[in-house]
Amino acid sequence: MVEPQFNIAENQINKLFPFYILIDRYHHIKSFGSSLAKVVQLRPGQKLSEIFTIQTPDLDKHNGDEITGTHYQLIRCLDGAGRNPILLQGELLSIKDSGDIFFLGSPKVNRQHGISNSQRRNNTQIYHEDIFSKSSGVTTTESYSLLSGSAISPFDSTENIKGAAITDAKGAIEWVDRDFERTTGYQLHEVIGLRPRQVIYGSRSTHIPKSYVDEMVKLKEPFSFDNIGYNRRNASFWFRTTVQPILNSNNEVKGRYYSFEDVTSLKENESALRETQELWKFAMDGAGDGVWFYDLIRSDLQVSLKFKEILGWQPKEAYRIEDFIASMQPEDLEHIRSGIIRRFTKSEPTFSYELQLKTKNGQPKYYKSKGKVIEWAEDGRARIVFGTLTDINEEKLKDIEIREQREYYQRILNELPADVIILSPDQKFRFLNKSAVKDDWMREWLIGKDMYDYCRERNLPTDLADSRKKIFDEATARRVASKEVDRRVKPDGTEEYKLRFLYPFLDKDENVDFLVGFGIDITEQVLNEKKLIEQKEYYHNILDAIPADIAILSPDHKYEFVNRSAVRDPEMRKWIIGKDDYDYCARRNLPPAIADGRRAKFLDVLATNESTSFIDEISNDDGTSIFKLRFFHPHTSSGGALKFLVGYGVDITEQVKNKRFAELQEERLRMVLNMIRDGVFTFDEGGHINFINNSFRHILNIADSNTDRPLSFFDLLPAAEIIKVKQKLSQLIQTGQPQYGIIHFIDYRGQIAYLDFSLTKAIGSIEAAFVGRISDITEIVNKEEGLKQIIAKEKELNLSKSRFVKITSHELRTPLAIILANAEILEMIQNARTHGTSNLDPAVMLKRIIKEVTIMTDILDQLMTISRIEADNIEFKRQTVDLPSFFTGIKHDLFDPHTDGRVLELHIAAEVTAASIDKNLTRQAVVNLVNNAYKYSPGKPAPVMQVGIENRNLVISVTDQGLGIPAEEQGKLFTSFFRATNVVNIQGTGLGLIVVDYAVKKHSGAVTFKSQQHEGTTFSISFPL
Amino acid sequence: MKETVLIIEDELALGESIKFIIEASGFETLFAPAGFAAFELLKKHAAEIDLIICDINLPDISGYNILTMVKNEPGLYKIPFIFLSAYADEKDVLKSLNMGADGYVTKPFFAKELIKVIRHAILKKKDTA
Repeated sequence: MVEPQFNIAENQINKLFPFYILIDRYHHIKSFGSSLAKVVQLRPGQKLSEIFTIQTPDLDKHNGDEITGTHYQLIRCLDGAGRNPILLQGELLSIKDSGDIFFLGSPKVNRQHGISNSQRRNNTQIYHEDIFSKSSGVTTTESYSLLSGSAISPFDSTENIKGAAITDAKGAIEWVDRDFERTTGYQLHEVIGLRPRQVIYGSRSTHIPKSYVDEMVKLKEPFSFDNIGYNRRNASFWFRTTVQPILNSNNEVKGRYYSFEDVTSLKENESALRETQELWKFAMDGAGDGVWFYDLIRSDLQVSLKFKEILGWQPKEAYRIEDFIASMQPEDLEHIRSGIIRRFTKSEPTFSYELQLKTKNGQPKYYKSKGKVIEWAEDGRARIVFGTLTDINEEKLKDIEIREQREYYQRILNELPADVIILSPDQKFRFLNKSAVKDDWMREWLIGKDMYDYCRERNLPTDLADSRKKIFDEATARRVASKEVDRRVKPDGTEEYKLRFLYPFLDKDENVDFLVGFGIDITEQVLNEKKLIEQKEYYHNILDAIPADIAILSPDHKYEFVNRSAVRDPEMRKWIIGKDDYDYCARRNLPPAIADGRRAKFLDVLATNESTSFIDEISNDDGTSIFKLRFFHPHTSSGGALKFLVGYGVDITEQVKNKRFAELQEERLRMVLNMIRDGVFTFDEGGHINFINNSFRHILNIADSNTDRPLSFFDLLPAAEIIKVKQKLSQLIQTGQPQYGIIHFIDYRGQIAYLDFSLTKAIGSIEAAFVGRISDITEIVNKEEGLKQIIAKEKELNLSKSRFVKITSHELRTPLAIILANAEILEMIQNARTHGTSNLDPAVMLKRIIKEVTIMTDILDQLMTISRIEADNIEFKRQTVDLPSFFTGIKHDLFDPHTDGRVLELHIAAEVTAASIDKNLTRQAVVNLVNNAYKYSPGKPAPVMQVGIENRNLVISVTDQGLGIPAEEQGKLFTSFFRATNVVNIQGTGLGLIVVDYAVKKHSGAVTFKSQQHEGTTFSISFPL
Repeated sequence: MKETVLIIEDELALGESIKFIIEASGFETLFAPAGFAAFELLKKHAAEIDLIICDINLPDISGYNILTMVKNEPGLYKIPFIFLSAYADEKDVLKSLNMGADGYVTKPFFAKELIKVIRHAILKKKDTA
């Protein structure tokens, strides 16, 4: 082992080992060869084991020295699917001190796994097969140190010619292995950049166009071809080139891997000379034919005159091997080169081959050549072959014609879309067309075989063959055509139906010459028919399951189908098909009238061509009835003729019973509704009434004659209330909530009537239906009104009482204050007199005291009066009074002048004389009115009193030009202690008008007033005379 | 110098009596029988008036209105204001004091009582002045 030199430049290593890998002691990749980079994606720093499967045993256990010279194998799959492995094989070289290791290897091809046709067919993705080579691996004895530059001469080797080269995508050599170097005699550095053909091809090499190779590479499939090659010393050899396109991960061609294989199996064999005698004998055997012999090593062909004659050459013309090759068809040439010449062995040194050759004038003719190796080279290969050439053109052409004819008919039979087989009488296949057997290989294979062979080959049970044999036997025996339907379940579970015919053909002796089988695929028809039957059954099943009577009737009214519901008895169900209702009635002992009725309906449908329905009442023995709703529905063809009629019957007994029950319930409900006092009605969204009870009619005074006419609820109401009710109705529709309200209107008696109403949705109704209720609440409302008034009065009274307390205390306090003040002054005067300083008159003081006491007495009198009025405890005593003196008396006593100095203006009409009145009560009333007039018109002209007679009434009116009474308060005027808001600062008890009112009422008279604020008031009282 | 009291009272008989009682106690008096008449006097004699005695029920405007006016007038608001009224409700008294009245005397009244209230109010005014 030569000591490695480590300072060698990497590019130099790359040139020699373009697949090298340099790793450190931890097996991390440091650098790698350019060719390797083309096939495997690598990155410095990656661990070797990440990229490759290392087959070197125990790499880790070796130290550097031990590693050197170790044989290694690295395998890497080029794609993720575990295919296309590349195998690198070579030696390890440990670099001392650094611990780095060189992998100096090359990719290997396994020739035993050479590209076979079957492989090509099965896997188009084979590029570098498993290129692991067991037999031709580099061995340690072959290896030599590239680094030292020494080499073992390839020509000294007895190894077969072989080698490998890697080129770039265009075919320029980047690397060759040592076998290549050895075989060709050229070193790597001499051939880099050249195409392999430039290195190997020589004068007799067949020119294989460069474009052919390039095109083949583009197919990305390995391919091979043979040619004659030359080594450096110009020695020729046959070799086979296999080109494997190298693909990167994107499936693009990145390079080519050429492997070369020696096919020169013939070599000079001196021992063959011993068979010279045989040579001549052989030549004699071929007498009449052309004779030739050929030196394979020297490519030297010698031919006889006869040979030349057969091929149309003149005896004197020179005939060389090139001429022979040129006259050959390429496929014949190929066969001779690779098939015949290379296959010679000592145990089988002969051949016989038919081929087409062109004669001198270019006409192709068929020849037969037989030959034998007569001399062998040392390496065991054939060296000299001797042979004959026979013209077989005529018979060959006849054969071809027959064959072509046969092929022509076979082609026609093959194109037939039906299975065609031809059997010999012993039931062996003579012919099968493509339809009968799809697989070409199988079809060919089956010729001459029988069904049993077929079953065995296909692993089918022999039953099939047995059944076929039976059919064939029968046809043979009976000599008549047979027909059968063959059902087969395909592996995918689907069914296949074939209609098979078998025709026996007889020869002139009436024996079966051959059998022709003819099969048509009728799967579709069978399946369709099956489907139809299944569909019919399917629908009949459905019809049977329907819980309604269904019958299908023919146009002549006969049953075509009845389902289970229509006829429960299965026997009867079968029996009735084809019968009619009369048959049915007769069998069941039913009156024929039933059949008559059905017939009439049937004829109806027939006449009108329209569906009809009717209810059948069927009486049971126990007295109950069954009701059936029956439909007759005609089905017509497109022409309009009746095809069939479907009878459909539903048991509606329950419904009929329910309906009757419902009707009864409704009647009961109606009765109940008519008994209640509230008005009840039902109506739709538009207010149209469809039911009213008696009370409704009564409340709204609707005559009986209106019952039939649909009424609108709204028509019964006054316009103002319609809006109210409609609003309620729309609210009801929106919310679904019952609505309530009160409406009032003038009833037929001309009185205000009140109706309480409620509206609600009818429960369970499909359409918008509503129920309304009304009740006459006029009486209640009126009572309520009365009660309200009483309550208001009570309230007013309570208010009046508190007002009374306040006013009386106030009204009494002022006079008391005056009395007290004057009394004290009197006391002071008394004291002053004693001291002689007073200028006040005690008489004035005393008068004042008396006056105030009088006022207080008046107030108390009035209070007494009121309390008596409220208790209605006043004695009413009419007496004839002279009115003029009565009124002037009042004026004189109180208002001539009044305390404020104004004199009452009094006008008494002439007709006013005497009348019967309660004098005291009338006086009090009049005084109160006049007092009021004074009180509320301070600083204005004096009040005016007019007394007259109008319509036999005594009318007394008092007018002032004072404050007036606010309009909104005029209604409260006659209540106790009421005082208008504009007079709070004016003294008064609010009791005056009560007395007036009371007096007037006692006299059956009336009090009226007219008042305008800030303008004045006129009070008038009138007493009937 | 004698203090002057303005008396506002529509009941003339009572007004005269009050006037007498007050004057007898050493005061000078001015008298108005109604609201507007009182305003006239207040305008003329604002500087002289030391106290106002006022009825609530007056024929033209109420005593409350007069009180409000006086208490909002810069030249008058310091004058003590006493109601003399027949309204004896606690409510009326409270209302009046809340509105700024300095005293409230209900009718009927004793002369001594009235004079005491007047004197007390005038003293109080002097104290604050």
